[in-house]
Amino acid sequence: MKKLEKGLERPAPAVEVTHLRKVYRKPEVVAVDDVSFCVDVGSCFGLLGPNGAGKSTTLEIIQGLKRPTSGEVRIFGLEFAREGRHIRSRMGGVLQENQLYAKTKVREALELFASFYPAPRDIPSLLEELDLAPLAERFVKDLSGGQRQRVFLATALVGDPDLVFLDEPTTGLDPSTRQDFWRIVSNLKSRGKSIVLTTHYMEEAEALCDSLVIVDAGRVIEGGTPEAIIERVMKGRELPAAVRTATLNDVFLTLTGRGLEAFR
Amino acid sequence: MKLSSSPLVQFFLLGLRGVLREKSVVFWSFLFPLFVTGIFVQAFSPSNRPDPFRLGVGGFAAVDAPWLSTLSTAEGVTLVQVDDALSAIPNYAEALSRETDAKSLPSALRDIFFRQKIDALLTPTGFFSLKATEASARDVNRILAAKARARGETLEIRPVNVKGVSFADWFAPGMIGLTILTGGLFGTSFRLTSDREKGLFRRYMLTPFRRSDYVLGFVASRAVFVVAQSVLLLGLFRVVFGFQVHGSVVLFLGLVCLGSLASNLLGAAIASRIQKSEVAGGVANIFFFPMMFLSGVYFRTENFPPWLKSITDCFSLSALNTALRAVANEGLGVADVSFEIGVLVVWAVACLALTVALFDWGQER
Ligand SMILES: Nc1ncnc2c1ncn2[C@@H]1O[C@H](COP(=O)(O)OP(=O)(O)OP(=O)(O)O)[C@@H](O)[C@H]1O
Ligand SMILES: [Mg+2]
Repeated sequence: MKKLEKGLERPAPAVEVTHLRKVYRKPEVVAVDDVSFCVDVGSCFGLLGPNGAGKSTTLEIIQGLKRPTSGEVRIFGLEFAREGRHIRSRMGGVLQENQLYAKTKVREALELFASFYPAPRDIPSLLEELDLAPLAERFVKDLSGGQRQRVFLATALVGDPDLVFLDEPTTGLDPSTRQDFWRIVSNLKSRGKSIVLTTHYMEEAEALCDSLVIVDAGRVIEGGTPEAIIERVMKGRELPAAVRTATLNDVFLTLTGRGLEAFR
Repeated sequence: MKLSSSPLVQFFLLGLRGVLREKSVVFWSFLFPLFVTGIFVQAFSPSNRPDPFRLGVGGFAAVDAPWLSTLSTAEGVTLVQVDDALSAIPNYAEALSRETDAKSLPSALRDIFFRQKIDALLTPTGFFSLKATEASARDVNRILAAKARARGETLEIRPVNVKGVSFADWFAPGMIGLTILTGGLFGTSFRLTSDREKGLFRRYMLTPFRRSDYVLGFVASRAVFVVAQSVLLLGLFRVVFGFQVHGSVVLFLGLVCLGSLASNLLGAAIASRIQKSEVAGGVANIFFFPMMFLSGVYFRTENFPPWLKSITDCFSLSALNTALRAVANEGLGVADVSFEIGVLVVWAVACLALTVALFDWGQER
């Protein structure tokens, strides 16, 4: 992408994805099909879509874990091929499936991850912020699923990254912990950090995301701010009787025709 | 910069905790080698043999009687008179000096050895034994010395084995070598494949970690652990079996380090592409079994056919065992074990190169 506006000093977007395509071999699956989007610095961006839509694949390509079949990814205007290490020192991530060494203490795990980054966060204050302080000396294997998830979030934030990738960070969290998580994300945004997340909770996307795309079968089928999408898609449509105003959930169901929360 | 904020140190600590927090480690690292050594020493150590040394004597004139009687009082020696049997064989002296192999001895002569169960035969023309062991060599020395004393001669005796390497002395370094190999082959390959299986490498790939920090930190943690383990084992062997390192302990531990490096890098090379930790153990066995049996852990390789010995000498465990024994039992120095050091370095470098070239860090290739 060439700069179009000459003389205009616009900062490079946090993430810029253009015509991304990913075809898995064996079995042959087109997981991502011509996906393009842009994440502004300091904003929270959501990737929504039903199971198997290609969200995790897209995130992993952006994070440099997978190679795209075609298309381009730039992070703060930089390319992985040339500046991978620099990019990685500015980003943090939680994968959809995570594990840590069972016989490692929470504090030790964070010390390990902190050591990778040039300017890591102070571990005690991070533990405090994520409500992990009482668990600091516990072995990872002795934590509950939700507690472990918070530890993973902590490993993603310990490097004080400018850009955070979160693949279904709140799946399996209780409602109050999820509220805590929303507060953490708002905090990050207020500190100028950029966030890319996937979620199956529409109220979460509505609450957190400044803009989002909805993908299905690897293709972007909608995109924009939550309000604009609701307005555009639900205008003139009949709403379920009990609901006064349309929510993102209605958009999701209308577009993908599948109820996700019914599975949970 | 604080030391603990170095990724190398962090990976080192991670590796060390990985072993130290495993309860079974105490058993496999300390009790098992001690236990096996104990069993083998009990089974094979000549010093524990309940039977005394049976010395056949024959063909001596009456003038020799005094020293023969000195011998019979010597501790641990039983004299067996084979005069009659021997005199029935006309040219036994010639046959004995000619033949070196029990099979080619005249059958009457062979019978003396096997029927009478004698360990050695003493005649006026010499001392003959079909079992050239260190223990029998020591017994010969004792017998010859007794003979000389009885005759009032000052016979100059050159003992065959000055230090008197016991079976335990011989066995202990091999046990340390084997422990090092197992730790590297199985411990490292399992650990690395299970890290990959758990997706930990993928997680690291999201960070600016350095692969070399991971590998070096891990290998260093293993080496430090193995040195500590060897120091403890040396202490245990000393207390239990009287084992001693006659050469430089620093050189001994240096060899332990190098052996650990070669073994761990072999484990890493094995783990390069394996996706399932269960498979790693199977592949490690391909290296483990030949080394365990052919690298002189349980039995000596000196009597292997030369072509086989020249192959097994290049096994990393053979090199390690030979070098450890040379330093511990013969007190040799660096220069004397340079071939073995070379073999270990080649193994380490080759495995490192393979690991660097092949290792799967969980990224899509
Ligand atoms: N390694 C792989 N090889 C082949 N196909 C794959 C592979 N990984 C994912 N897929 C397929 O690619 C498609 C997209 O998968 P992806 O994990 O990106 O979906 P997702 O949107 O994250 O789904 P979910 O909401 O369930 O996490 C799916 O059809 C999946 O079966
Ligand atoms: Mg997913």
